[in-house]
Amino acid sequence: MIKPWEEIINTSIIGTDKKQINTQVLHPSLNSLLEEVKKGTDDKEEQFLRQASIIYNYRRAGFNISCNAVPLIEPCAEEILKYCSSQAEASLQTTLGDENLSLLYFWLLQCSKNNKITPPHFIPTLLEFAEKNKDLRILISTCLGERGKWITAFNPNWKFGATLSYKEVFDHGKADERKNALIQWRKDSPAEARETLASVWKEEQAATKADLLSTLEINLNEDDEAFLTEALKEKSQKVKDIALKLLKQMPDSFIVKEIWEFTKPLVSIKKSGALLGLINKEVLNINLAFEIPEKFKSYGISHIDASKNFTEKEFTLDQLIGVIPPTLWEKHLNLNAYQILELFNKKEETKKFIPSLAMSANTFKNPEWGIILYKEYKQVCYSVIEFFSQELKEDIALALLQESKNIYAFLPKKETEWSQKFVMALLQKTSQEPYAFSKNYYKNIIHHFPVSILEKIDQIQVNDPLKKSYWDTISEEIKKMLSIKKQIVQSF
Amino acid sequence: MNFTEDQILALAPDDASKKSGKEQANPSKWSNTGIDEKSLWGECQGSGKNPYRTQVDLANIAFKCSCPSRKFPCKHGIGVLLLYCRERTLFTTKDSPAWVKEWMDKREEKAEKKQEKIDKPVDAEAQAKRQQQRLKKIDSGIEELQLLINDIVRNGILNMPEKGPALFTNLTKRMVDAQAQGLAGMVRELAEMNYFKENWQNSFIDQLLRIYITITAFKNKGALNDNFSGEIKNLIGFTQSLEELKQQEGVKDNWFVLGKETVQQEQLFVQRNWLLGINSGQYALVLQFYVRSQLPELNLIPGSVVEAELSFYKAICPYRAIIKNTGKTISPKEISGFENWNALMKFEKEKYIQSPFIFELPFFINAVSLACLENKWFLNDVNNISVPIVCDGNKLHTLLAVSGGKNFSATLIGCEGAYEPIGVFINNNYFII
Repeated sequence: MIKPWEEIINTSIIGTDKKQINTQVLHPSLNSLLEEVKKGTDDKEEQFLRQASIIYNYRRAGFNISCNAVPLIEPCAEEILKYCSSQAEASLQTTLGDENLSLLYFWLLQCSKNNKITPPHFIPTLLEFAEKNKDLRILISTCLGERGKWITAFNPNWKFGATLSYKEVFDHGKADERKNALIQWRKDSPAEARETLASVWKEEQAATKADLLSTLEINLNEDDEAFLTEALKEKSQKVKDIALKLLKQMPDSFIVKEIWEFTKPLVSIKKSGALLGLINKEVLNINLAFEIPEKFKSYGISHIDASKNFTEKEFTLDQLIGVIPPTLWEKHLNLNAYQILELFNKKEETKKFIPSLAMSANTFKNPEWGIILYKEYKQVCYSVIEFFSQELKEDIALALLQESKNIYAFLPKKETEWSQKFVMALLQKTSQEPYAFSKNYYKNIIHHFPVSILEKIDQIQVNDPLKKSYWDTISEEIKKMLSIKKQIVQSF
Repeated sequence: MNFTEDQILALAPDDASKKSGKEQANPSKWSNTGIDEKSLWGECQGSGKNPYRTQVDLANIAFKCSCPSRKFPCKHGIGVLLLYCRERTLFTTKDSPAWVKEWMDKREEKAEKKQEKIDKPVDAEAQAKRQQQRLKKIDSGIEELQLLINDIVRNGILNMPEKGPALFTNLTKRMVDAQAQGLAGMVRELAEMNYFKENWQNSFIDQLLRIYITITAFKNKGALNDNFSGEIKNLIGFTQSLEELKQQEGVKDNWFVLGKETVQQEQLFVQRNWLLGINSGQYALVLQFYVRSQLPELNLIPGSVVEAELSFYKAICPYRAIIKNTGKTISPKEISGFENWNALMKFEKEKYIQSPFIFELPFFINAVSLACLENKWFLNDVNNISVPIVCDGNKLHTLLAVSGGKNFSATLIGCEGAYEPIGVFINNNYFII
């Protein structure tokens, strides 16, 4: 027995010119009624419409869609942590509405520090933020509680690779996923990561090899030397360059050793008497009468100085110095970092090697040298800034801002609040260039600003009237963001 | 006043106003803020010399601001409500200033005058003449519509995906000319139908038959009872006058605002508000029509409960209504809905049996849980009977998040087993899905 509605649809598709409703195929209980409504008209279309109207109501009055016991989903486990306050909820709503990632980061940090979780209705939105912002993923996950963990089972995009091992991602992921997996793997288990890379090395294309090889910079160690030395034999220049760069960063690599053995005799201390021998004066003696071995050229040691600040020999020596770990100078000259740098700084002809010493302090991540080099010689070793005090970091950041450099990589960690002194100094500079430092600039860093700035911000003077009006708008926005930050602080 | 930020932002006329409203919710911009039982106010420093005076009528959710914006509510209106929501401590003053009192008094006066105007007698003869002329136009429009329906039925509907949109767009205009706004709306649905959707033929024939039944019933209106003919007239486009509606006896109840949806139809915004009478169990649809830059007369906030008297349009099953009087807005506590799917569907089928004009309805069902089979989602009731739901993407994730896989009460919109959840009531909180 055909369903009445199907007969209506079939007839309507073909048209009454060619087909009429076949009441014989329908349930007998309908027949008399359908015949009844046909009466009084010979018009086929009218007859169809009347009968279809009856079946339309018949269908609606008797529909049944329910079915038995589809399995229920496993409910979420009870929460261990408590939900944040309604005030905190309101501040989260504001932050999300403004799409302010800096304040969102701050909110999540407060939530996590206070062992609280977000109310459930925020979970999908926050997970969408996590999807787009990798940096926030861990923090967001901590603030979503049991329900946050539970809900990820219903959206594969929210699993964030948590269930996949590094190897699985490395073996089956896309290019950037493989690289990221290798980066994390190097952090956790450098040897295992390298061995995995070595196992697939021959199958990879040159560009991929270069990309993946660069990840060995993380936790670079002496066990990597053999693999990197082998990589020097690759056809691709890019791969070779990366292998060479990494070998030059290893204090015990054969390249660094060879360079050191060659350079060591060229720099020595000469003691000379002064004031009739009453004072012993120490100066550096640099021997520039050398010829570098041919193979050093393959290590990237050149003899042509584009800046013409050095003689050919000085330039070669400068490059050699840049590859030598600072600690080797300490042993060789039997002096500490401060004394060695002072000796280099004594004479014009040796002073020019200080930037290369800074380069090596940077390469070999020597914080002791880094601090002296910044404090005494204004040379910034970026790789060691993380070991500096907050004050020194802020000092560097301000100096770099003057040179329009990206300061965030060098400033205190993401969760740190900057000092009021620094923020005011920063605002004094940035407020003068409101076109370059627009609202979005502050929107990205506002969580670092102390709330106390709210009362100080009006003290900032911008004299150019055009810039002033723009700055006024920006400062209003900063105040608004700081008010939200204040609200967040108060709500936890 | 216990509005959430979402509820407040839903009052903004557009996305730009939402954004600007949020920017205005900055304590440093506001002074002399206060709140009393009926109103909320504040002064906002704008670009001008004097601050803008912003005030909100909390009982009827209306705004006034001295700023020059033509948007209603303006960003200051949204801003001051958001600010109250975020920092209530800033609103300590309870004595409203003179400018707030004056506005509130004027509003009351205006409401009284409106009532007086309603009481004024109308010229019955002229009205009857106008009505007669309109009927003529409608009859001619209906004749044209009937001819086209017959043509479609005769030739079959296979070529509708190609011909349909243009054909029905023109016919919609013709129905507007014929002053049959209701029919125009029904024909417009055929023009805007998704002909690329699987089984579009079902929706098409459904709508075609709804039109056919309506015009057939209209032709026989003399033989119908008062409610039936009233409903038919409303469906054709003879909207029952507001004055008449306001005079008839209404249903006084605490009305739970189940949901809200605004759609744009050319220059007009149509806002649908679904309500449930907590004591009467009566469902209601309150429609509001407004043009851009205007504010709908009423701002109903989903999840809130309004003390109100609703007056229903004439119908076999009264459903569409207007709000006659409103009282205070309260937070929902216990809302009773259908106990299980059988009860819900029995109710729905009874409505269909009574009236062929009932289409989509809201339903509030208690104690359902989410179930899943082969990536299809269902709601199981207390008897473990499963019914599929129309829900995916963001809606599904919100549903999962707020329920946590546990029991909840839900508002569904739909018909004949195709139900879409639009709200979830759990632990005395209502969430819009």
